[in-house]
Amino acid sequence: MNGQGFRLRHRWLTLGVGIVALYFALVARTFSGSGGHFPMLIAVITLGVVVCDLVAGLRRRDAKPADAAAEAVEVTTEGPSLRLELFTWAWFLGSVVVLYLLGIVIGAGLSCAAYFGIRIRIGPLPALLAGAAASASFYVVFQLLAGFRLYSGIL
Amino acid sequence: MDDLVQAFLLTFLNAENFGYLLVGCALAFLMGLLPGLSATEAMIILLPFAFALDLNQSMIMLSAAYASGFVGGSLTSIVFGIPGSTTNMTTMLDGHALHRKGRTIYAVSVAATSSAVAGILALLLVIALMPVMEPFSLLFGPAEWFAFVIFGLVVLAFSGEAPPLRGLMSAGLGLLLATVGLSATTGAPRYTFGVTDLWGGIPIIATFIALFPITEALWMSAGRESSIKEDDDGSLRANSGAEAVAGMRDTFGRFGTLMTGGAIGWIVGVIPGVGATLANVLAYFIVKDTARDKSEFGKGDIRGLIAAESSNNASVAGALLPALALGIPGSIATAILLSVFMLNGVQPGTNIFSEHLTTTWVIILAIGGSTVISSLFVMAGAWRIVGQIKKVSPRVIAPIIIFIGFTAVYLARSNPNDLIIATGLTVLGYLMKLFRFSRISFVVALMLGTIVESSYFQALSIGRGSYGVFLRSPTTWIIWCAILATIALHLWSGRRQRAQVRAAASSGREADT
Repeated sequence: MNGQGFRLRHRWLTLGVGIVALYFALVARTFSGSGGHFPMLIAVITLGVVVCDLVAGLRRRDAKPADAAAEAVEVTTEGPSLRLELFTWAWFLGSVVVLYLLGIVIGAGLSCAAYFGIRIRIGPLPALLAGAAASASFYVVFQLLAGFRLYSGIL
Repeated sequence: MDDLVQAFLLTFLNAENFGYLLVGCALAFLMGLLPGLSATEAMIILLPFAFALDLNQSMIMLSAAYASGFVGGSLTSIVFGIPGSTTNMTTMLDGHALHRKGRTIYAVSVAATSSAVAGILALLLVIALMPVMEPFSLLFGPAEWFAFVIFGLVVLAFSGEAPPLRGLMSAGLGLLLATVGLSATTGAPRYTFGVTDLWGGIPIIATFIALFPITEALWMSAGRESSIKEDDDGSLRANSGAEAVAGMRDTFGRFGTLMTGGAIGWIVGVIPGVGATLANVLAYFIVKDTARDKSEFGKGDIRGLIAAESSNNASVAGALLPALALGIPGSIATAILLSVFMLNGVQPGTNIFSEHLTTTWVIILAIGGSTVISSLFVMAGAWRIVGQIKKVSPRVIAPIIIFIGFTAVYLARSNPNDLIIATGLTVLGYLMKLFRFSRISFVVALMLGTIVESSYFQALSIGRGSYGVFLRSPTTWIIWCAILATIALHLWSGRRQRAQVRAAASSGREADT
């Protein structure tokens, strides 16, 4: 697990931040007046920190085992199964789409039913009942009792 | 003195007014319990009702809500390990660790006692310092304010929540994203990709909810080790009364930490625009950094919990000073209070202490009263609430947390596109948690970014473009020296730790040979 590959593999987000900072710096040059001054300053400082982090990762190739182990823990905490991770993200993104299209009350019900049915595995009927209960709870608590006007979707 | 007596009678001995205090207290407490919602949302809900009341009644209700939300938020942080609001961010670090050890009632008792004692002491300090408020505020100009926020971000980055460089990168990313929207200096849109919804910037409430409650719920749902744990019921089996008393006793036993947290919270609260969030994190990490034995912080050290909870309640009192004396709101909550003043034809300013002293006392008493009432409520009934919450499996509540989060995101601005922004921010939050970046640094930087930029340009304008303006006053010197000292301290302690590791490794090798 030691070595350059290992180090850089744990710095994908550092590279991502570097790309964002670079983008902000490049675009800041196009702003008129003083509009680009502050983002340019912050982007340059952030890029400097990104470079430091990448260099630190490369320089620690021969680092102490304790450091390497600590860094491994940083990103590998009890990794879930790929199937579970994929299901969670598919469910989450699907829920957002349903929420956006059908609104909070219906979206909460459908998403909760799907979650309880597939993730918790409580069976189709209890899952549907749980979804209906979730919809009813959101409607009663937020719309009826608190008086909020909940988002009703674009459809 | 007559004004104080009159205010006391109005606040506590008038049944109708006391009812408004309880309503504000209860609603904000419940809002504080819900992850992502806070006293501010409770105040926004109560605002239409406040318009129908007279000035004192509306101030009683709103001030009670203002203070009570912090106490409710602490309970969520302790039990779920996710902050009820940004102002309880560090409460979860040691509070939830205590919960996982089965000492929930103890943790709640420590938090409630810290909140109540620090809140009351801070209010007494406000009363004592009312006359000298205006000269103090003059010490903080744009350059000082800029330096102070940088100090806060550096302290956060070096706090140990993430590796220092990643903490700095998180803060940098937060400051960069804070520039999204209309420029404060030119008024032109920046980094908006033509999306008009981004003209007002990245919505803070959506960011906070996406990065904390929704990310935590997804993390848990994906089967990763979560801060929301299915624990044993140790705390419920334990003697609740004894645990509550032990919590109170130990809090007073750490009176120095209580005063330190309260003092930091109060000072940060006084500075307009900073608010309880930075107070909460600064107090926690300063107390941690200055402690001789740091090994238990994050694992259930009550010093961390005391610092976190004393600071946010003390900052509420501190924030009243600039709001009332200068009419400068330090937060959305104080802005709401000021708006009610103005709706009643009262212009906040130094004259408020002479012309509306009774109302000023009413606000102070309502905040003090609601802090004590909600703290007592937590200690008296918390274990029952916690008991009910603990019966629910965390995996089961994950979708509920996510949907309450999305509901709060929508309600904050009634803009459905915020749901899309929150989704993107959730992806970012998940990656930040995965790669151990500092989400707290990111959120605080994003929150303060606009003010940092404004202060930066105002200071340069005052200095006629010269960067020397940032080193012109003794206050800025003190703050910059504190920044350098923070960095030097961490470099030194890091070097020492590495030397100790090397020494231990080499002695181990020698033993092997």
